[in-house]
Amino acid sequence: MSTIRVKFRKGSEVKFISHLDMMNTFQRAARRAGLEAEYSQGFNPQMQMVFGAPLSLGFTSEAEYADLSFAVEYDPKFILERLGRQLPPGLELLGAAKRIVKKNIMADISYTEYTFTISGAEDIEDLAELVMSYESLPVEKVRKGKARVVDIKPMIVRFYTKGNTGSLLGAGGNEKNLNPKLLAKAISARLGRDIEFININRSNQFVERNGAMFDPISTEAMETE
Amino acid sequence: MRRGTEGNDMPVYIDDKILMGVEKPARYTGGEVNSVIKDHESIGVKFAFCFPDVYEVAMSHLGGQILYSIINDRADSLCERIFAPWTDMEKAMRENKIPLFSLETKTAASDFDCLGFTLQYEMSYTNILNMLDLAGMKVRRQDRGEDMPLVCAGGPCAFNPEPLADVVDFFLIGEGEEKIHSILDILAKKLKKSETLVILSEIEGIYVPGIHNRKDEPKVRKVLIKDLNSAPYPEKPIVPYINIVHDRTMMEVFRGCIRGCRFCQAGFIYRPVREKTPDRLIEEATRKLDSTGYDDISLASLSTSDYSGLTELTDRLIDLTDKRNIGLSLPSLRADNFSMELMDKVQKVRKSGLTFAPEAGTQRLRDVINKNVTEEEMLRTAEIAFKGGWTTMKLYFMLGLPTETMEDVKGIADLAWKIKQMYRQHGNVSKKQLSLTVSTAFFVPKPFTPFQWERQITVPEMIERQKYLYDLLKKANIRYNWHDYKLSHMEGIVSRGDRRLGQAVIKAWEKGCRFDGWAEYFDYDKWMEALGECGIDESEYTGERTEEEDLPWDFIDIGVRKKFLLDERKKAYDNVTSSNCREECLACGAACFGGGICFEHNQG
Repeated sequence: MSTIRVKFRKGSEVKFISHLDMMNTFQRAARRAGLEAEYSQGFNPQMQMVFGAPLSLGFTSEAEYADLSFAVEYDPKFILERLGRQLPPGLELLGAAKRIVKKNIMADISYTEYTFTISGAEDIEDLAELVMSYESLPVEKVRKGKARVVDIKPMIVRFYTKGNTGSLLGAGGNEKNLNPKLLAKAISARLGRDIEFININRSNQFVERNGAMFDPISTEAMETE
Repeated sequence: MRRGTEGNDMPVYIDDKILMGVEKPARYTGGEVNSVIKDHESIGVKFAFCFPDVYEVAMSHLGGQILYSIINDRADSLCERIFAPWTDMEKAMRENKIPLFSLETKTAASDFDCLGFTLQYEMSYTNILNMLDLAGMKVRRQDRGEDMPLVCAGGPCAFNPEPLADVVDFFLIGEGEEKIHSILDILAKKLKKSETLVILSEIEGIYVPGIHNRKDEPKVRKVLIKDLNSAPYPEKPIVPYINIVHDRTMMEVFRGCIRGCRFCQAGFIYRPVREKTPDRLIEEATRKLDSTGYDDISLASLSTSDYSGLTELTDRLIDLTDKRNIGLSLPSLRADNFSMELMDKVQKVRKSGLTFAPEAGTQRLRDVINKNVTEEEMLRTAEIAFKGGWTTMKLYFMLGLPTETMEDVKGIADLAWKIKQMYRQHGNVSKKQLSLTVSTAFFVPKPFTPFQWERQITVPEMIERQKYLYDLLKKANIRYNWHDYKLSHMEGIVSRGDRRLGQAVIKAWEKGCRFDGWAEYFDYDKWMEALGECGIDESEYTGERTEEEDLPWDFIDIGVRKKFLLDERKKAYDNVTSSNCREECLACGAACFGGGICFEHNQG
């Protein structure tokens, strides 16, 4: 029995595939690859797979992660090759490593980074500088039908813009999660105009170890708690 | 080349914003595992398989997967899929002037050589018109020029092609696998449309409304696959990203049905019964599971438990599925030959609910429709199932069958009640409550059945019978699902329609009708207006037909003789049942095809 963490790209071919459907796609790919997965107990046995934070529909990503549990020991390289061959165009495995830490990917992610194109702010010289100068950035967030106002400023670690492109490093994971669309909404509300982030791509996700950020598949992340 | 669009077809551009604004955008993006993309520049015949319903329904259709693989296996042809966009996407497409496009390469529908629609259900006809319109094509064939693709249609409803005869250029009557190669060979010649149609009209099974005269002899005879074991099956079915209606590996165990229930069109148009061997099916299952990665496999046929090799097949399938953690389901079981042994097998991996279709509530009426199942058998089945721990059962019935009285309607509630009592006696192993559901649909007289002359009960009668049953089941505290009587009434009108009725279908579409099979979009009033404006009295279509009159579909020959259907009708009125094909040959006429059970019989 082994758990292998894979890192993968979700390209534009599959950016309209929902998180749930993508998980299903991985399960079917694993079955086509003839891999012996670990199954859950019970009425409807499911393959044991844990995916990282869901990516919004329409976003692409260079840094998605999943922890796949198998009934037998597999070499990560073997998984990379065998599973990789069965994934449809747009889903591409970028790395695989044996997970030693207990925490699964879903619980471990602390930060995410996105890149995007900005539209509607062409006349603002440095949008990021302007936004970072604000003390707070309140925005209305709707969750389970209830709207509440949250300040997302503390969730921004780094926001950077150049011309019409931008990148955002912010809180990510189970507890706090900063979606670039929410930031665009907050800025639009603050400036009283429509600013949109398009072609949003998740470029990185990080786990935290001793106050530093690491790629979830790096040795540091996988071998130290 | 016949067409103006030589060489590369320009893909249709669909902006992300449009896809972000619609429900389930993956319905329109393609790219699924096992979908086939070919280079348009080097291919001779570009065929589009068109299904006039939404993606999830379209992708559940086994026949489409079969045609898709046969055509794409040819080096000179390609097949792409085009489905009806859901109403939100249709709106976005019309607003942004996006033409109907294929899933594989986003090629405009009008850039294909031939659009092939499958007619699974009469109430999808307006969707066909809507798809043609979205493609920028005129709905009437006579209004479409040389620059537009040929439109063909097949599937069960093509056995009565007349309602769509002004729309479709040619129909294929029967099983598509058989003649698709001849059609592609002719299309590959790239002749003018009119010349192509003349050549097509000479092929068996093809009906060209612009050429054939309905009085012509010989009639248009259906085509079929004589030996299913040598027929191709899709080794690599497309695996959708999103959940579809039948999200599993589907296995066609046999084609046709030995039973001959007198209301059932499939039971006659697919005669004779042709089975696949267990060997062939195990090979097929293995390949399909390997190529799809599905975790569920289902045996699909009209009445799966009638398969002669069922024990061997299920044993061998279970060997296969157990090892791989795969679920096996057997729909279409009959209540008369259901065994504990079989049930143990299907519940071994995953246990689902049981569904039975007694169709009628009293023995008298079951004899009328030739549903050879007795109350005793059904109760025995329920007993076995409940003792085996089953807690969910669904029962399907029909209301409005010929000769039905209120006594027969009451029989439905009585039977359900007896089953409920059976559970109290035998079923409380798990202390769980029985989940029993009764569902009813209204009888729709269909062409090529012994009941093709029958009247459909009127709307007030439908309401009365449904209400009566509703009250009875409510008293018995049994869950009841029913079909919309308005939709059944409309289906009754279209099913036995002719060319004149086809004008009303076009009119209904012009008034905005589409997705008629979906309760939220079905607009009965618009349909009624359309009929009125075409000067059609609906009772001409729902009423009883005389045995002497020429029926709109009489020019098609399904092998089964009209005389046989008439004899069966007479037997129905005398409450006399008929043997099934395995017990005894009744010489219906289907032996003319030279294959299937008709010949197993003679040898035995």
